[in-house]
Amino acid sequence: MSYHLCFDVGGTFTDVVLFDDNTGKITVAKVPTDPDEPINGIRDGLQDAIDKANIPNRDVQEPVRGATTLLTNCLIERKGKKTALVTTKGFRDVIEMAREWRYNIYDLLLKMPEPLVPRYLRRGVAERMDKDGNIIEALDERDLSGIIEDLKKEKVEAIAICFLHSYCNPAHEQKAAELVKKLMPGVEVSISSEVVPEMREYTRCSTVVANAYLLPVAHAHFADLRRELEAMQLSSGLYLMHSGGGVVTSDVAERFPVKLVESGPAAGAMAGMFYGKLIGTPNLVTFDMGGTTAKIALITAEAAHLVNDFEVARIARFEKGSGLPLKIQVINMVEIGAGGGSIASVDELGLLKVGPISSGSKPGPACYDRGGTQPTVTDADLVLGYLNPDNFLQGNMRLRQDLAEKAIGDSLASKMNISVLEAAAGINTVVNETMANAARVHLAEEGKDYRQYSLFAFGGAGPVHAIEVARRVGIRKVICPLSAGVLSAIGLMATPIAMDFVRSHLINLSGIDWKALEALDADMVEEAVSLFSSSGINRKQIKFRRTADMRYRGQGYEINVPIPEAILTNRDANELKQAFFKRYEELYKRYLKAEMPIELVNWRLNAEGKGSLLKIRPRGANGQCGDAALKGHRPVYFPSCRRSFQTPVYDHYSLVPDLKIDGPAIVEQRESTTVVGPGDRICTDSYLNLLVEVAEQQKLG
Amino acid sequence: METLDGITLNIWWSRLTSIVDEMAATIERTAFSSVVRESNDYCCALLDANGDLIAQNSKAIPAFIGTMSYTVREFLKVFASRTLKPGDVIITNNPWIASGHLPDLTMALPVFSGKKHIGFCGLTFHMPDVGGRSGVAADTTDHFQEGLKIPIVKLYSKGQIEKAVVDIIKANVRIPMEVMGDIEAAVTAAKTGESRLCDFMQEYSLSDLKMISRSVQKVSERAMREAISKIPAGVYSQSLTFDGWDTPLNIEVSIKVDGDEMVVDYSGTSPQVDYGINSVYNYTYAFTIYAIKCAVCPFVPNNEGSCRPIKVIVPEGSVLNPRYPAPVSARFLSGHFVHAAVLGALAKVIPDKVNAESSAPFWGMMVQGRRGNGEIYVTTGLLANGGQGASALGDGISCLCIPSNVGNTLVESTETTTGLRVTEKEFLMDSGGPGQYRGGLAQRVTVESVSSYPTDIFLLTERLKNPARGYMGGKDGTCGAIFKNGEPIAFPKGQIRLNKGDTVTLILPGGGGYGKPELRERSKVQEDVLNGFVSPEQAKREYGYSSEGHQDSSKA
Repeated sequence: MSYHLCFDVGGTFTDVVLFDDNTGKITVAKVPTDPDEPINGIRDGLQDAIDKANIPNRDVQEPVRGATTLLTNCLIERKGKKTALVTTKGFRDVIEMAREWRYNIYDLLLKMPEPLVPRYLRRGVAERMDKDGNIIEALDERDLSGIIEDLKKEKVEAIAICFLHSYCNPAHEQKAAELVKKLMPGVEVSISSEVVPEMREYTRCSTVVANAYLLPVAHAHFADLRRELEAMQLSSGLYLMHSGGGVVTSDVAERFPVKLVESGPAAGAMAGMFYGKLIGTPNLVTFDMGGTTAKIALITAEAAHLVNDFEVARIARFEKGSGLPLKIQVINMVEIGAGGGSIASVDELGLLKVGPISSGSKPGPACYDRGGTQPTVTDADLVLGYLNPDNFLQGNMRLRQDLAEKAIGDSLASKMNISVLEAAAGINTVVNETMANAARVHLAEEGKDYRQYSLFAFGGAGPVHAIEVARRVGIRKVICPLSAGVLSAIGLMATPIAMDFVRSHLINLSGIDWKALEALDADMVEEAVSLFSSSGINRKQIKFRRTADMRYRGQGYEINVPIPEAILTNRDANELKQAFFKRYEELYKRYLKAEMPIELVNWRLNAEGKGSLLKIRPRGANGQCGDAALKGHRPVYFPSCRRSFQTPVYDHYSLVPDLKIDGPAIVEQRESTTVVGPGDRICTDSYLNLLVEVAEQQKLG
Repeated sequence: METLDGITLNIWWSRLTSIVDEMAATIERTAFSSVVRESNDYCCALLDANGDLIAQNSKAIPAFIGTMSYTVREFLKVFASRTLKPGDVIITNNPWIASGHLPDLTMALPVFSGKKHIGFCGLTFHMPDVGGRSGVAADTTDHFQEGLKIPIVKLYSKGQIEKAVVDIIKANVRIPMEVMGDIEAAVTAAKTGESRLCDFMQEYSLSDLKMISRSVQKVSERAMREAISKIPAGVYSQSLTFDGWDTPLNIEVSIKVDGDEMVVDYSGTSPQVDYGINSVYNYTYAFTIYAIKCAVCPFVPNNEGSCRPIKVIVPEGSVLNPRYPAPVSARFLSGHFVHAAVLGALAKVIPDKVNAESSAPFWGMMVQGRRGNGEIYVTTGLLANGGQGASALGDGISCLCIPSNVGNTLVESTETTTGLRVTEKEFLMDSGGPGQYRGGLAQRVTVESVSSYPTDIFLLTERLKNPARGYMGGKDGTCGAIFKNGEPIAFPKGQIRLNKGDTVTLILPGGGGYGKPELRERSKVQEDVLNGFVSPEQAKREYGYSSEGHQDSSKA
C-alpha cells in the first residue's frame, strides 16, 4: 500500500494529485490559489484529494512533492524582504549598469528593470582577487564591520555578497559571510561563489542578489508548509521541483530558492519526458499552450535540453533583455507571447496580429461574457467549431458564440473587409504559424532535425492547436495525453531527485591540469553526496553525468559538451577535443580548423538519485468504441481546406485502447479539446493517449 | 499590381523574419569578434533579386539601416544577376559602398529557385581585425592607414573558395585565424538562410520573391507616410557642436515636413577633417532614418518602402559626407551625433516624443598587447557608456548606449582577455543634467596595466568640452574627462602606451535633463540624494531641496 501526493501551485489554481500505487488510480483536486497565503490552497487541496480517495492521512507515507510559482511571483511583484548587497569596493553599481544596452532599440522612452537592491543598500568593501584567484588585497574586516553595523540600522533581512573573481577563490566571500552571521545573527546571507561559481560578474551578481532576496520568503514559506504537513500527519518530508527538472528536499530549496523559479514549467516538460519513455518516443517537442503564453521545449533521447541562463520578471512583454538575468540551470524553453486569451488586432501596417497582449482571466475572451470585447484566440476557436460552448472548463462556464462573432466582426472582419469566419480562420492560422516559427527556430538553434521529433501537447489550448502546428513544422506525429489537465503533477512524480553543480576552470585544452580538474570534480561529488544523504540516498545510488562548457579561444559564447564517462581516468585531452568537435558540428554544421586553440571554461556535474516513482497501468485492449464515446456531430471549419466538415465529437474518457479514428474529429477532455483535421488519423494507445498521425502539409496559399 | 492580404503577408513576413533571426543566432554564437557576439555589431537580411530589403533581423543596430540594399545593388553592378551561380559569395568592406569603415564586412549569397536568381541572404559584421593602425582608431590621417580594403570580389565561386582572396586577407591582419573564422561563420549563417528560404518557397509553391517584396515595401511606405503626415508641416532646425579632433565641429540640420514627406538637409555642417572621425553618407543616412523612425513611427520595419518618403541631403566634403579617400575609421565619433541633432530639430514640433541629448557616442579603448606567452592579442578592450538624456516621460537611464547599442565589456572578461585590471567602475554622482526629469548618470572607470609587456590603447572619446544638452528647461549633463596616472591626457582620441603600473581613468559624460529642475517631484529628489545619484549640495543648488527633508521655500 503506497500513496503519493503532489501539488502544483499556479497563479490561479493549486492542483493536487494523489496516486495510488496499488491500483494506479489517480485522484485529482483543484482549489483556488490564495496569493497572500498560498499555504491555504496547498493544505485544502491535499486534504481534498485525500478525502476524495477516502483514505486516512497517515497512509500517505511517501514525501509530498510540489512545484510552485510563489518564488517567481515574488520576483515579478517585488514582494521580497529588504535586501542589501556587498561587493568589491568600486563595483557596487555593476548590478544596475547591467549590460548598458537597450532591449528595444526603437523605444526612446524605454524603462529598465529596477535592481532588487537600491543603491543606498549596496556597499563596496576593500578586498581584491586577481583573475587567477590570487589575493591582491586582503579583505578589510574593519571596513566590513562598519558596513554591517550600518545595514543593521537599515533593518535589512538578507545580504548578498558578490566579489570579483570569487568563482576561482571563494575565501573572501566565505569570510565576509561568517562576519555577517556573527554580527547580524538571524539575517539571511548568500554568497555568489556558492550559488553560481562562474565567471562574468553581472550575471553572477544578479543571481546571488535574487537568491538572497528570496531567502527570507522561502524560509518562512517552506517552514510553514512543513509544519502544516506535520499537523496533517504527512510527516515523510517535502520535495520540490527545481528549474532544471529535478526534485530536491525542501532544505536544499531553502538554501537556493532562485533555482526554483521555473519549477512549474519544468514539471510540465518532465511529464513530457515520462510519456515519451512510456510510449517509446524518445524525441519530443513539448508544446504547452495556456491562456497567455505557450512554452516549447525539446526532449532528445529521453532527456530534456538544459541551459544555464534564464531571465525572470521581464518588464516588457517577451522582450529579451528586459528582465533580471539568472545564471541557473533551466530546461531550455521558448516562451511565446500567444495563448488562448491573446488578443487579435489589425496593426498599423494593416496586418493581422495576435498577442502579445492578453485579455487575461478578467475580462477574458469576449465569449466568456465577462465584459471582454476584443477578439481572442479562444473566440476564434469557438467560432471555428473547435470548442464546445457547453463543455468549457468541465462545463462550469458557458461560452457565448454570438459575443465571439461580434468581437471578431467589429475589430477585424469589418476592417479587413472579410467574413467573420475568414477572420477567425485568420487568427487561427496566424497563431499556429507563430508557434510553428518558434518551434522551427528552437529546433534549429539546438541543431536538431524536426523529422526525428513528435509533438507532445498539453495545456488548455495545446491540443486544440497542436496538430496544425505540427503540420506546419513538418512533424508527423502528435501525442495528446489522457491526463492533460494534471500533467505538472505527473511530471513531479516522474522526476528523480537531482542537482547540478558547477566550477569555473578556464584553461587551454593543450595545457590541461588533470589533477586540478579531478580535485574540483571530487569537490562537487562530495557536495552532491552530502546534499543527497538527507534524502536517504547514498553515494552508490547516485548517477553522475559530466558536461563542460567549452569554446574556441577568443569566442565569447561557450557550448555545453557532454563529457565521456571515463575521462578523468583516461586523462586524454584529445577525447575532450573530439567531444567538443562533435557538439560544435551538431550545432553549427561544421567545426573550425583542428589547430585552433580550445578552452575549457566550466566543469559541470549533474547528480541524479532514484528514477521515476510513477506507474501508470495500461487498460485492457478491445478496439471497440462504445456508443458512449461518440457525443454527436458539429460543423467544424478547417482553414487549410477552406471549408467546414460535419465532424464527430468524442469523449476522451470513454474511448478504449487500440482505436482508430479518421479525421476530421474532435475529442473532448475536461480541460482541453483535441482538434484533428481531415486526413489525419487518431490511434489510442493502451493508456488512452491519443497518438495522431498528421497528414502532410497541403500546398498552402 | 497584385499584393498580399493582411493575413498571408503577416504569416509570410514573420516566417522570413524568423529565418533572418536564425541566421543571426548562428553568427552570434560562432563569431570571434566580441563586438558581434556581445554588442550586436552585425546585421542579417533577406533581399530580393534587385537588392530590395525584405526582412532584417530584429536586433540589428541602427548603423546598418538602409546600407545593405545599397551595397547589394553595387554588387549587382559588378556581378549582374544573370551571371550569378549557386554557391557564389560576394564580399566588400569598402566604407563608401558598405557601412562606413573597414572592419565592417558586407557579404551576399545569391539564392536560386531552380536556375533563376531570386534574391540574396546578406550579412554585415564587424571583423576582429582588419590590419592598419587598429581596428578602430580616431587618429588615422589618411584612409590607407586604416587597414586592408577588399573591393567587391567573390569569396566563393560556385562553392569553391577563392584562395587568392583568402591569402590576401590572411596576410594583412594580425589574427588571421580569428578573422577567417568569423568570415566562415558568416558564410555558414548565410547558407542557413539560403536553405530555410528555399524550404519556405517550396512550401508555398513560390517561384520568386517579387510579390512578397512588393507587398512589404507597399505597407511599410504607407505606414511611414501616415506617420509623417501627423506632424505639422514646417521647417525645424537644430545646430549641434561637438569636440571633433582639435577644433569643434558643427552639425546643422533642417527638417522640412511637407505632407507625407520629409527632407532632411545638413547644409552648413562642418567640412571633413584630416583624422579618422568622418562619417560617410551611408552611415549618416542610417542614423538619420533611425532617429526619425524612433520619434515618429518605431513600429515600421526598415526597407526601401519605409525610407522612400524621407530624403537626406548631405553636402559632399562635409564631416557627414567625406570624399574618398578621407580617413573614416572612427566614423561613429561624428556619425552618432546625427541622432541628437535630428531629435533636437524634431523637439521643436514633437517635444514629448524625444529625449534630451544623451552622452553618445559610446567610449572605447581598443587594446593591443601581448599575452603572458608573448602572443599578440587585439581586442575592443573596454567599452563604456555615459548617461541617456531624459524625456517627458521619465529620467534618463544611467550608463546606456544610444544611438548605437553596444554593450559594455564585463570587468572579469576584460581582466581575463587583456593585460589590464579594472580598479573601479561606478556611477558618477551629479553627472546627470538636472531637470524635472533628470539626465542619466555617467560612470567613472579606472584601469591599470598589470602586464610586463607594453599595452597600446587607442582612445575613442567625445564630449570632453561639449556636454549633452538639456531640453525644455532641463540642464546639461556633465562633460567627460580622461586621465593617465592622474594627469589629463592631451589627445583624448589618440594612442597611448601603458607600462606596468600605469593607470587610465575615464570620466564619462552625463545625459541632459528634461524640464525645469524646480518642477521635479520632491520625493524623487529625496530618493536621488538617498541613493547618492545627486549630492545634497546639488540637490540644494539645483532643486532647492535640503537634505533634512524640507524644501527650501526660496526656490520652490
